[in-house]
Amino acid sequence: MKYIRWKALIPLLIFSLLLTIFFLFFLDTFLKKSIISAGESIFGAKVEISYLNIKLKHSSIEIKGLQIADKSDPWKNLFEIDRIKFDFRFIPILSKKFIIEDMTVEGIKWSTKRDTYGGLPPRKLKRLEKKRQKEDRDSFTTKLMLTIKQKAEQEIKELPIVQNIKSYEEQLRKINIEKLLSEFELESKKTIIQMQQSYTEKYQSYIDKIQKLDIDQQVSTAKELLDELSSVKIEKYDDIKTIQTKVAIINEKKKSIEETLDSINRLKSDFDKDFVELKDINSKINSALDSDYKNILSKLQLPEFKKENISKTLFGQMWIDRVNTAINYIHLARKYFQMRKEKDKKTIRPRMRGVDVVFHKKEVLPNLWIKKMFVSGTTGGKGKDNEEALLLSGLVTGITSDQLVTGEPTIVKLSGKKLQQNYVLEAIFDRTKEVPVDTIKINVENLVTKNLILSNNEWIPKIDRCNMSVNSTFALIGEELDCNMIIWFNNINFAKLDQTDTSDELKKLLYEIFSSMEKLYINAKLYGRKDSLSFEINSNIDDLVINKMKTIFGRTLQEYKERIKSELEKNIMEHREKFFKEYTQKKDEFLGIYNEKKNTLEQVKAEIEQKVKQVNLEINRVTDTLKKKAEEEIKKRLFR
Amino acid sequence: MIPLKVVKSIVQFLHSNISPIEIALGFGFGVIAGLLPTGTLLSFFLLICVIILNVNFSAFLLSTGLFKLIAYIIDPVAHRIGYFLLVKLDFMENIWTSLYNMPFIPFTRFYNTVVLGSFVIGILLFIPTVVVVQKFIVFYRKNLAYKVEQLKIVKLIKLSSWYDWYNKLKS
Repeated sequence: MKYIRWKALIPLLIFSLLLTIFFLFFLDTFLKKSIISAGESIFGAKVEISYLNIKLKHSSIEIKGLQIADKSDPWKNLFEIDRIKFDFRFIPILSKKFIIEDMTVEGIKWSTKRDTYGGLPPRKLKRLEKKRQKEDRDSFTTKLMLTIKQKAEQEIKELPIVQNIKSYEEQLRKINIEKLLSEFELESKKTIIQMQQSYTEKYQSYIDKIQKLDIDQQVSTAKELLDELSSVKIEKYDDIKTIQTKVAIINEKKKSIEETLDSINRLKSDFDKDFVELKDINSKINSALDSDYKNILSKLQLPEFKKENISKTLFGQMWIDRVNTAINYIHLARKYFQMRKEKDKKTIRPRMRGVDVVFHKKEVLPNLWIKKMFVSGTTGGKGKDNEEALLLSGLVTGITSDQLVTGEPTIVKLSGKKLQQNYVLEAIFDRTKEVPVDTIKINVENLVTKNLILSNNEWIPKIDRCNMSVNSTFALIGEELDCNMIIWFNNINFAKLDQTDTSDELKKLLYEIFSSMEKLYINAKLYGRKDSLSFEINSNIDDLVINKMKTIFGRTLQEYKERIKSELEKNIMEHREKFFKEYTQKKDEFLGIYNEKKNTLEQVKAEIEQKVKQVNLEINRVTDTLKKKAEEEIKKRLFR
Repeated sequence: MIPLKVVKSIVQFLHSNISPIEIALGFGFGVIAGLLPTGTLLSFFLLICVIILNVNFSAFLLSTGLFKLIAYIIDPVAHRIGYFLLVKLDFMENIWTSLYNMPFIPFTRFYNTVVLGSFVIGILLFIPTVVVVQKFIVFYRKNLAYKVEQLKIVKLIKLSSWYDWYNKLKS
């Protein structure tokens, strides 16, 4: 048996030659397809290249019109690049090592509008997603992104501010003051009833005390004594003795009447202390009424506008999205610029089928190394404001698959300036230390921003134009996340409401709230380790919204409060009037009785005094007469 | 109709005058090619070997197709073997590192656990497959060929135009 098929050698050589010619001829297409395939696998969205040219003679590649669609918004590009040009070293390619000294990347633009849909077919997307999931299964950044998503779900309440307003209006509508009052045990009513009982008892006690004084009996006894005194005729000496005895008795009576008068006056003074002026009684009832009012308000549980959570609700998702975007870039950096320790001789990378083991050797070129990449671009682009757009330029150094070999981290510096506007992007992906350090810093000053959507919420109006300044840092040091962003919006002009929106009262209300803002400040933080992430958002929007809402809802709230007050008044009005009537009546009755009794006593006392005076005069007159008679009798007897 | 074609091709080379070792070697190479993931330099080298060496191409294609199906089932096993060889065997580390940094070799993707594991399984199965297939063909042609030729299905196959065309070529 012949072991070699010699006849096949020549056709094989011809075939191989043809294959090589074919391969070289279509190398551009193959490479284009490979880049598109790799890009789609990384970004999960359509990747397009309008022109690719390889010059093997010069070992150079030129790519034009690279567009990478945004997976989350397929009608936009994640970024697009007008031109990429680089020379590569040929010899290392034979060892599957891609070494580029200088690369030029021109016309970088992001979030630009696309003419065609940038999503991948569902089946392809599913396949890529499956592959990505398998490769990223044990990746820390994937787990971190998942944790952040869960954290956001916990922290950002489902109800946005609108729901709070709706619930507020709903709560206000549900309030039935009449029903509430009928169910509520009014302290003021209770106080009136208690006062009514107490004053009735007190009144009765004063009446009893007056009756116990037995004034009528005393008066009638005094009158009888007076009558007796009047009936006595003083003619003889013996009559004087009799009448003097009676005067002494009546004087005793007068004393007793004076004591009764003192007692009745003391009762009056006590009564005056107990039965105070009506205004004092009224103030007591009013204070009970006040307490009722407060209790009812507390029972009503009128929704309060708490400032906490407004910023989180409004900007939480935006912040989480930004953090996730940054972490997604960091995730790609960690996936493709893998960390290894100096002593590690091999590292393992999960793949769709099995794992790739990368073997490291000192002083051997890494699999990928782009030493310098000159970058230029713009903040404008299709579908963006190109009048105010900034031209950006910068340098990326040390893009490599093994930083321990190259000894330098990957550093991105991109900046742009136009009048007052300033843009600086700095990123460091460092694998040269013990722990991987990934930092992305973006500083923007006075960036004129148009058509800005603050929050993906139909209720928050779009910003037509504003000046925006951003100071943000997204850092992942080892497994410790530290993200911080401060945004200032100045000279904000909110977009006007659509015709359809103006019919919506709630949208009008929210528009009124937001359109009054001229400045806005947001400070968002997300930090800590994966299992203990802290999420904070502070903004002046909290106070602005609360104050505005308080003003808007204040009127309605005041109306409700006044209605509650008037209903309360109405509710106790009858009891209060009845009580006041009874109180005044009792006071008048007592005073009437007192005055009557007092007058009677004083009258009797005066009568007694007058009578006693009369009697004493009569006694003196009779005594004088009897004395004269006696003297005349003696004279007669002596001079007879 | 693919199963019928497979049966046809099996019947054809079993009943042909092709040397049993040629068929067995073709089948053996097909085992390796079938188990290896596509798109590696190893698969390309294997194809060139099959073209240059005097082995049966139909048997190669048949076993490649057959073992491509089996490959998905034995992927986990291949991964384990590859992982053991690439990661666990420390004394091999220097060899792998040298191979990894040599020209062309990285294009074989030997550093992938499934590729290396499948290749090793293929190599291990190569000789037993060649021996078993060769012995089976000899036995078949001696004892079973006549009986099989009498089967209606085989007669049907023989009647087909393709068989005629094949016979013409053979003659």
